[in-house]
Amino acid sequence: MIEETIIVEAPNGLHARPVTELVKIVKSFPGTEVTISTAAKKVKASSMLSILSLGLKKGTEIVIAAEGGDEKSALEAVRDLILSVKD
Amino acid sequence: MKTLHTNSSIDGLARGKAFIVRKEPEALTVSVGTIDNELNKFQSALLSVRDELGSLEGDIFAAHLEMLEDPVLSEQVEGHIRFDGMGAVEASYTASDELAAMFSEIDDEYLRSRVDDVRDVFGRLIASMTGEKVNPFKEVPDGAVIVARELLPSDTAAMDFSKIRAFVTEKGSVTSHVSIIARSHGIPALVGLKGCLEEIKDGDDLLVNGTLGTLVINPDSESAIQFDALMAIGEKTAEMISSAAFSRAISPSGKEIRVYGNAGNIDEVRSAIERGADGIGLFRSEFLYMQEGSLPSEEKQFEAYRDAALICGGKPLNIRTLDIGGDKALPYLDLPKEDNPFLGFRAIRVSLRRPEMFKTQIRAILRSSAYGNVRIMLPMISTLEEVKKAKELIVDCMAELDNEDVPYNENIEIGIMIETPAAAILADLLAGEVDFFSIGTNDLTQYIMAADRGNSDVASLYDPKNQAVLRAIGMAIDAATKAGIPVGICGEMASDLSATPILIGLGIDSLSVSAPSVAQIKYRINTLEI
Repeated sequence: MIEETIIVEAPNGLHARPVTELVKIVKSFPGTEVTISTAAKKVKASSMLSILSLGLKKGTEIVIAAEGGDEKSALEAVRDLILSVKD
Repeated sequence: MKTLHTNSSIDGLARGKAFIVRKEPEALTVSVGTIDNELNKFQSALLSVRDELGSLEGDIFAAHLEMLEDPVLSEQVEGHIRFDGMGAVEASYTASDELAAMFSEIDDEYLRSRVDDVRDVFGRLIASMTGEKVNPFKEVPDGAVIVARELLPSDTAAMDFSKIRAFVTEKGSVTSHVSIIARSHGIPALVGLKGCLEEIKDGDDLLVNGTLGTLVINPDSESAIQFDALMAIGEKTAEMISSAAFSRAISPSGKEIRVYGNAGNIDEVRSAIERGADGIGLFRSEFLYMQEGSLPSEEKQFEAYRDAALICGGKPLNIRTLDIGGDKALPYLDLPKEDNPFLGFRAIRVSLRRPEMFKTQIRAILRSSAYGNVRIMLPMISTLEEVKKAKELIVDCMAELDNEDVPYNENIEIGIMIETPAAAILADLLAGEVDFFSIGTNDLTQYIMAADRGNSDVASLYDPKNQAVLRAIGMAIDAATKAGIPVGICGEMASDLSATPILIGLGIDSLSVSAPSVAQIKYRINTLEI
């Protein structure tokens, strides 16, 4: 398993649209389990509702973890998407 | 025949058939089959909503589709069906509440409100199982009186107002969303009418008297005939009233009362001027700040203010500086969440703490002053220092524009809103610092009476004609008169026909009202008797 810690930079936080994209990316790595955790809670990144319920606003520190066949590419793809959100 | 009464209503008469919109989980009574039946029912609802969402364009529906396909959603619902003896519909309501509860802890208002998307998805699932319409308002029949617990922006967004005769709601007050919509479309409304959902049945014949605040359900023939006659007289009067739009409004003592329009964007400025307004008494600038996810540039603001000034063509245009904060949030400003938003960090308090943001707006307003009779209006003033500080920043901006050789009106008038008790009490001192007063009666009333205007339990205390509020208004008017500056009213009270003689008696110079009320207020002033 690998993991990386990042800070959410998106001005309005991770809202419905970017999370939709994120879940699609996670689902494109079927053999890999990706999770996102905050200080309070850890959820599966394949669940739209779970991620939204974290309320990831700007400035939140999160840990992305991936385990399975494509863990490196999955982790990078998820990280890049989260850091690229501009709205 | 049955009569109900409310103190909160929007003027006008209408008769129509009740169209009841329920959004309550009454469908819980749906009969429950075996576990397998209920699981199948839920699965086929998932499929049909998936098709429904797949056929809709837009990011938001893509997000809803992803929520629908989230295993967390189906596991939650199916768990209740399998282990808790619930039917598919009840299980969906329960799961909806449980998932919504996960969002309640989020400390960011914008992200927390994504819970509405979750509820929307469950709403579609439940509708698919019970056969209810997803958005019942699209199906409103012609000539309907809408009856509901409350009406939210998402409800009214899809409405065809030409079909609606009146609104009747159980919750709310004259400042609720439904009242604002009703007023702007000239539709009568009865709000905060307790018990109306129990008393009214779909298709009932309703007589709505928004002027008196009464509702008659299934009238006897005599009441119906009288009401129809009253409506006919109303139509004739309406013609007389609309002919007053472009006249001057003269009080019985011979003083001209300016009747201004309130506007929240350029279209409303145009609409008010076209309907005879003597100027714009309140131009809310918030719309500029809500269009994109960041602060509007000076250039963008300047263009909007200039266009508004040109439409006014020399008539006064009072631009109110940003009134944000408290309950009106701008996500990108990152304002702290407050326990007591109406007593918190809002309006001029935010502007003075963020001088760069404020100066951008002031520069834009100053530049637009070269194109018309533009005036600056500062909201939520409660101390003399705030006025002085704001004026210093305005002078700074003028110096900058001088250096850049950009034209503006050096004698631009600067006024303040009187909407806190502090401002009313200090009115004599404040009057020495500014060129005009505008009394914001909505906030002033709620602060003087310490009553939330949106809370139907205390709505009766929220009365702009309460003696305490009238005394505060009187103090502001007397101070302005002594200082020789004009004083107006902007707020719902300005369009309340029963308040017109009181306000004129107190010595008001102008009333600022929504565009459809301009003609009516002028007619009212011109027909007052001493």
